[in-house]
Amino acid sequence: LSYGPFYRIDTDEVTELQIRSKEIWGKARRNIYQGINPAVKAYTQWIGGETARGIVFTTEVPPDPDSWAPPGQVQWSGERPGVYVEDDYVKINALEIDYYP
Amino acid sequence: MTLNSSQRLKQLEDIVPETAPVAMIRQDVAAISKQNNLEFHESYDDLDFLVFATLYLHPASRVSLVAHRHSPTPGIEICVCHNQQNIAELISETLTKLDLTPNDLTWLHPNYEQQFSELVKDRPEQVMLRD
Repeated sequence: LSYGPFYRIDTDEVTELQIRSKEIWGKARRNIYQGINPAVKAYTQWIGGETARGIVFTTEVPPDPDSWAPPGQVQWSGERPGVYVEDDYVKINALEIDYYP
Repeated sequence: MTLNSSQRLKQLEDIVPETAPVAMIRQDVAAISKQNNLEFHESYDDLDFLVFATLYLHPASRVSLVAHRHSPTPGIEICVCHNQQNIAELISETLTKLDLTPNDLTWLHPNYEQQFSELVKDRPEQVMLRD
């Protein structure tokens, strides 16, 4: 199964790193095992026009239920299969990922 | 987002601990800023560019009000600390502080719906959330 496409507006540096690693990152704070889990976040639509820059991606990792994220967004929180924490980042693997637009 | 435009900004997670969205209100930044004399600051997170303001509540608690620049759904997110307790109370206090009602919520995290509904059940307004 493939989920997406999803979109994020990122810095050129972060975009490059994510495309090279085929990983999507969400910054976590140190106390991530308490209370609300931090999450990888993405938009379900692109409304950045031609001037904003970012990535488009698909993933095999199912997002959290729609109602867990604000309208227009999806998220992956964990830890659960496919959602993992490395250093200060929550990560999921992308199936396909590219620059957007 | 370009690197040049973000170089001058600090990432939201490096500025405030209140970054976990738990609710969203329909108002826009200009209206909330003007009515509450709140100053919004430029920042960004893993999703997008954004503006945010810190809203101080009683007693000694606070939330971040966050509006992403390119969100498909306009509105302002109410964000709390990842280890925050009594989140439904914070959401209720935020609405009160901003002179809003539960009808102004366009999204509420399902983990807090029941507790929030109990908190506001004596209010005359109906809690109406998105489908």
